[in-house]
Amino acid sequence: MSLNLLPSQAKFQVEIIKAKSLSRKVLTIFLIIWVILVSVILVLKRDWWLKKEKIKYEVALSGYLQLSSEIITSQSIKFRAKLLGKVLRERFEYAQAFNMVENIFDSKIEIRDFELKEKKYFVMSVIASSDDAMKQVETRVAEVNMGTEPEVKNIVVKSAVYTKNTAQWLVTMEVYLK
Amino acid sequence: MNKLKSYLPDKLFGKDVAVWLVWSMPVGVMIILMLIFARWVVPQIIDIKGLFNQIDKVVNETKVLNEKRVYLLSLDRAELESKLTLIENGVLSEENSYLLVKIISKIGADFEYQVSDFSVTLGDIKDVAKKSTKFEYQTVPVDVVIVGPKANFLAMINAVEKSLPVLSIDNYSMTITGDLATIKMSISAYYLPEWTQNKLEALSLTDLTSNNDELTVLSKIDTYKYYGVTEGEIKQGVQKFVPSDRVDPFY
Repeated sequence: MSLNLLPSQAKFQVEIIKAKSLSRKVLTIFLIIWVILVSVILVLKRDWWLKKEKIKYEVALSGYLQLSSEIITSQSIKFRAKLLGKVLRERFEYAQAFNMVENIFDSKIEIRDFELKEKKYFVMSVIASSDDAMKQVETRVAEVNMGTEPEVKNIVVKSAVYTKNTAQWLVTMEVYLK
Repeated sequence: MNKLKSYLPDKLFGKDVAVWLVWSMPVGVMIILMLIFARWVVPQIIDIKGLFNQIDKVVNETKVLNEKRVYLLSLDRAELESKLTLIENGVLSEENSYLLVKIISKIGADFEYQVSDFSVTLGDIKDVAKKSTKFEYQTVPVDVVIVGPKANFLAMINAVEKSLPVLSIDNYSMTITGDLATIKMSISAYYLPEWTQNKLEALSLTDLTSNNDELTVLSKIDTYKYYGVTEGEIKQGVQKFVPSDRVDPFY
């Protein structure tokens, strides 16, 4: 147990001195922190970092733009390919449709007219040069309408005209594709 | 200070007021510094945040540019050129309906078909900017009547559909008389102006890279036959106008 034998005035002075010393320390630490913070902020505020990064960007950009011919070529290819892709996807393939029509009837049956009315709908006239050929047309139309041809939805016979002089049947029909 | 002391009690929280007053100056300085900090320094922190965002953006853009550059450097120049030639053959070299007629004549000639009639309506060339393509192109249409052997019509149509430039048949009707087929068709070809963009750096890596659809188109048209028409062939048949030197046209 320590015994403080100083007079009360001296004790008071010691307390004041201690308080002054502590307040000075606290203020100094506060000032140091404040100055450091402000300095850091001022340093960061200056855009040297941004400038440095912008220089890097400019270097990268000039390197990239040196390849402008490659860029233009690749873009030309890309846009043309997009356009052609769209055309190829959307256009109606007539050759395919004709192949289909040719496969419906035998070679004895001759196609006379063919007109595409709408996509997947066309009107055609065929010539059957004998009664047998005509029967074949009727049979094939009936078969197709029963779903034997995977690509053809149905056939509607619009007219069948017999010409006595040539002994030929002219059959006009509407063909609907699936 | 002594005057202030006279207004204060002798002791505060068990300590002499004089001890508390020792702290008045440092606390005052700290408050002033904090106020300065709040008034002038805190707004700078907000600016710095914006600056950091800018730096981040520039760093990212630099990274993307470098990636694009590396990709472009990895491209085979010769392969790129051959792809370009192929794809350029797929569209018309100019927005000219007569050029299209010449191409159809060339295709027909391979199958003994001849263009007997054609019609081109001025102003038929349409600018098309569709949502699906996101770019503008021109459709060049022409109505043609071609006559040739019936036996070759399917091969001829097949050739039209597998030719370069790519053609699409918009309308078709055919009449067969004896061995001759007369085919009326509305055919369109396509013209795409040269690609231009001022800001090449705005293109993303995805924009630069070929996707599967494009590669499929390229491999598909690679099997098509090219029916090129030279400038001389287009001008052929277009004779120069020579004014008559006759004074009286009836004699």
